[in-house]
Amino acid sequence: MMEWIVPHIPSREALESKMVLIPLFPFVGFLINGLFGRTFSKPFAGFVGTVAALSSFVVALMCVCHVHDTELGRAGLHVSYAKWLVTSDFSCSFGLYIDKLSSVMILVVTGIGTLIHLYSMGYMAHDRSVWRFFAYLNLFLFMMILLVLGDNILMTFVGWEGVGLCSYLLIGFWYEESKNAAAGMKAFVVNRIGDLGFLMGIFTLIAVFGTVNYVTAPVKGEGGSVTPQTTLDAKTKAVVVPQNPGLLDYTEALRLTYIKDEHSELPEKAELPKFATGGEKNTVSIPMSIPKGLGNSLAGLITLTCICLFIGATGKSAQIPLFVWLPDAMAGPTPVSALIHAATMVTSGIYMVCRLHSLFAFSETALLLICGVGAATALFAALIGLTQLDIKKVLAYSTVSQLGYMFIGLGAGAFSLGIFHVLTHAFFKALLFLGAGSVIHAMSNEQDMRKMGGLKGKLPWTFATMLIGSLALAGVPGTSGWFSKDNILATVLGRYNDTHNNLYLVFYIMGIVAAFCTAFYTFRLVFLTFFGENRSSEEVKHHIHESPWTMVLPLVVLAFLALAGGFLFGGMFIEEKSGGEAFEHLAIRNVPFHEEHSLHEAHTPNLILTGIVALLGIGLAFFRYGKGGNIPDPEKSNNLVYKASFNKFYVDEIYDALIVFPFCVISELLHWGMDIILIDGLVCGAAELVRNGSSLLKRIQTGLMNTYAFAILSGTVAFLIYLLIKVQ
Amino acid sequence: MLLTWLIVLPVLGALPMFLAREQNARELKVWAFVVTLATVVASLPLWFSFAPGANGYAFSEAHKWVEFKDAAGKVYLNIGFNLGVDGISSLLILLTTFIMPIAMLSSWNYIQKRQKEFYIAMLLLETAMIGVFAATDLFLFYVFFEASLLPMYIIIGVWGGEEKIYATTKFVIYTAFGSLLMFVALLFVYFKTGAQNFDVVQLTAALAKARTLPVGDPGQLTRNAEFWCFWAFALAFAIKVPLFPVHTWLPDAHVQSPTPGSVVLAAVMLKMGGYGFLRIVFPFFPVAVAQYSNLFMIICVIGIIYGSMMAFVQTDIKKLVAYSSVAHMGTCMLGVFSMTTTGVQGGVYQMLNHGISTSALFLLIGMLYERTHTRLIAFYGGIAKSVPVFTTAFIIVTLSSIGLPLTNGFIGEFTCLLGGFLRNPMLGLLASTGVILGAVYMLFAVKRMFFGTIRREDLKHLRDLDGREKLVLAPLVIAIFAMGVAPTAFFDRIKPAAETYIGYSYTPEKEMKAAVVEK
Repeated sequence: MMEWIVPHIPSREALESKMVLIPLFPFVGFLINGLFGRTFSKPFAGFVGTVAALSSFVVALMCVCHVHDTELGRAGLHVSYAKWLVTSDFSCSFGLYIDKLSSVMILVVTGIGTLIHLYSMGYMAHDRSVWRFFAYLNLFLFMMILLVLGDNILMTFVGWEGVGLCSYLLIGFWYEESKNAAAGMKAFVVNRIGDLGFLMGIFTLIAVFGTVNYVTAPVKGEGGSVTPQTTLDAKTKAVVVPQNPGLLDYTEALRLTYIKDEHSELPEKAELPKFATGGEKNTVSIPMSIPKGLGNSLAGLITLTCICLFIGATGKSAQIPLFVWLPDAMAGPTPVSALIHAATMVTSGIYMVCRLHSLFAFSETALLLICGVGAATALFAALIGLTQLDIKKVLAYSTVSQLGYMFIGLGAGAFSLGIFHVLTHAFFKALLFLGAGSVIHAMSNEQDMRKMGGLKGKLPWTFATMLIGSLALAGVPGTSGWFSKDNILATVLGRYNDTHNNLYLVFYIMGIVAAFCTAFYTFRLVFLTFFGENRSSEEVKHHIHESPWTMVLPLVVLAFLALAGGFLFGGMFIEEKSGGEAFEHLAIRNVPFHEEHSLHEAHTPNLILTGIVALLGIGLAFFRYGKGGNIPDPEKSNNLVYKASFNKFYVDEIYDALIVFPFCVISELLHWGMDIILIDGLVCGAAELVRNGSSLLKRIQTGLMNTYAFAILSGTVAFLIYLLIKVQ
Repeated sequence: MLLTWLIVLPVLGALPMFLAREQNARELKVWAFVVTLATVVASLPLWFSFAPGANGYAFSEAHKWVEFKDAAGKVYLNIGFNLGVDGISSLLILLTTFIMPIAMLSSWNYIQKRQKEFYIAMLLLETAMIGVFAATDLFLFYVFFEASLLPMYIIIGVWGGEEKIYATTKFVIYTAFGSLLMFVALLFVYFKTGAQNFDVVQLTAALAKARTLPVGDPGQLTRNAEFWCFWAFALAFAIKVPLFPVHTWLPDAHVQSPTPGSVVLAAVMLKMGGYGFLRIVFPFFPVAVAQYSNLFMIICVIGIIYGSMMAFVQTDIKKLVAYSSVAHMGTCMLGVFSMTTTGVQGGVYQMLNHGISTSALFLLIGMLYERTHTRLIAFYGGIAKSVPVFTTAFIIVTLSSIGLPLTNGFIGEFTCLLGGFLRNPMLGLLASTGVILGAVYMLFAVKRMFFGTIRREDLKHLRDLDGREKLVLAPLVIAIFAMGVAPTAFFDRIKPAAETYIGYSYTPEKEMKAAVVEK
């Protein structure tokens, strides 16, 4: 579809010099709004932010077209700027790297980012500090771009923490309500717990490979620079590695050396080989210094690294056990929920795993864990979503659940499908959130679905687009959501056929049940909001109106993508034969199947099953809520399961009781017991001892002659007695 | 002569002030500020023309100072006025000179009584602090080390808060206790080894030689003696850092101290401890260091977790920051004790970072205190609305303090923790929980102070930062980002010195080799 643009894009060299503009535009937008926004009119502040996002998108699009212009066999665009951190254990620079994988993400980030900026101009039009909102939003884009385009894992970490900061600031945007600020803080802290895992992952990578770069530094050449790749010399069968190899060079070399047959796992005895570099044929010794206490098996270390990194991903991508921050994050303005907490930031965990997928592919244990956590999260969050009353809360739990599907895909070894679901989910979930925002906007900030209903006539555009989004989320065949979800589940079933590991079957069933729940709660939302009678007050009813064009336009664009995204982009991600197409389109090598037909045999039963559960879920929702039914108050319900689901299975309360409360109590106890009583007691006690001791001694000096005479006499007698005893 | 001038400049500046009258407070303030600015200018060559010689020291100078001879005319005590800086001490001197004008400017309205004496004390303090980092003669080092206590004792004791006497006495007795032990150990080392003078390099060599002497030789440094001396020095420096469990003087001193005192205490004086470990303990007692570095790493980890938990329960924002210092210095020393190049580089970098971000926090708290006369967190709430610029500054500094990437805090924390991890992964993991805990206590405080609705009427009309206050904070905020984005120049500077200090570390093979050479 990009053929018509290709002739118009600049040369590789020109693009390399322009790449920096992708993060720079939003950063400048942030500075302008942040420093001078206070003096701007509201529309102008929004305009600055939106233009910054759009400009970034345009540059990104040109770069992506170049990267995907496979006819010329072009590799990724890679530019390295100044050195950032140089130590004796590793060194890294500020560098941007657009390869086929990051190009998908960068388009999602800047593209959907632009749409949501546009939407926000309408949504936030009446807010007191629009400029601050757009400053944060631009800063978020900047950080997200660093995360996606960073050429080393430390840059990814910069973006990773940076988007966390923006998330914190934007959740607490309306900080005057303490609840919002608390939600922001919770998001930051829970993310930090995950970041600890990420940090440990980076540390082990440095310990094992001695580098944080993904690929080696680019080499200047004719018409632009090239990043040397790791390859297998066809003649000598030797692995040729570039100078200063990056992480992906190491994994590729390991794959070429050890992964001969269909098995993807690294043998227990694998070692980092000494590589022959290209051209000069000199060997590079690998700075491998596995610290004591980490074991000495490379395969084991890689598993450990992958698990650490995945813990990082569970934080940012809201998986069990760290998903609790995301539902609370809905305290932020709705465009923020759409951009950060649905379409982009929360998918960075998936992106990070895919960035290092060649490492994860070595560890079956880690992949199984990822698959399991994904399946558990998908199901658990879907169960909670069934009973929520707040329209944004339903969508929030749905996001957690859908992120779970992405991890199921990754864990099943279908990395490309994980990214595909990131893409389609970005379309339909951003759409649903923006639609919900439009509804909330129309309903004078009402979010309780019990007070909605019958809006389909009054908000025709919102209704039509949200219906499309809901169909995609429910996984109705033909929609974009169906393409990605169906294929993920098929891969899991295929994995079961392939390995006969019953765990995969369990994960598959969990995925199917979750799909049923998804269809149900999605259409429960649709029926409660748009059908039946309007249950709001007269005052609110009076104000109901369709949103301005700035808000409707993004809805329409996203609805188109949510509907047709599967047809448009599916070919890039879905593989007919494992190990081929995805690599060509995405530079992702999915974990191969032992038997090629395992996957094919899974497709048909899976297709039938997912189709049935989607329709069943929608049908049940129609049966229950189609005529605008009333919802029982969950708090008063006698059904314990219903009540537990509404109360999120009390996870927050359990964490409070098990972690937060003990931490507070122990801190307080230590403060009094240790610091004040014990240590200061000892210190001040010693001082007291000296003082009291001297006042005792002071009394000896009485000034009375007879006392002194008596003391001298007793001393002499005692000394004489001592001498007598000693002589004997 | 550069270093001598640097040391003397603040004292020279203080001299005419003795003659001035208290009524001319404004002129005195300006004069003191100008003197510190002049010191900044004078210290710039330390950055721009730093060229270490063969022994690793730049700007070396040696002057005869004190010489005692016995009846036979043999010199038995030789104290030199020897100065010199390596990559680490030059940065710490720069930190000192950089912080001082900021501290001076922050005292502008905070100090209301006895202004003349206050500024004299500050200038004397600067001299002592520069002296500590510039001295290569250990006796001289000790003199400056102790001399820096006196002005600080006075600053807290005279211009401090309600419990200033308790706090300042505790501070002085704690630190003096440690440094007296150090003094005894220093004299022991000097006389035992029969060194020619107190020069740190010569003493190190003399100690290394004394260690290899045969058993029974009067000049031999036994393992036992080495361990006692190690503990004497280590205790002195551990109190200064401060490491758990000898940290309890710090919260009291900080809370009672006036803002400029807290700034100097946090930014510079705590660094003397870490610097002492690197400069003296590592080269002098490698065997003991090899034996105890793991123990000290554990102490640092306890300090990180314990300090964070203490910070979490504080009700006074200044005390919270003081306890966060305990945690941050724990991170810093973890890097140092990891004895890896990256860790030591990170440790030194973290010293600078802590100097910048904690000073900035103390400054901000001081500014708030000037307006409301309370530091209780519960008093505030929702003031982001009335003082947006102040809030922005506070959040930026908070981000640096909790180590957000692209701020200086991240670089220091990351490299320290990496060093710790490479040395001992389990301890590295435990220490890294500080990353979470730091966010917990800082953001919790930010939430309670700045967010939510304003409940008190007077807080609605709180005055935002004025020009002078912005000027005080601007250099620190710039440094926070500059050092987060471009740490390379610093790391390159620190590297040779760090490698030298790690190079002293003890391994059995090394000692055998030394013994062979000796024969």
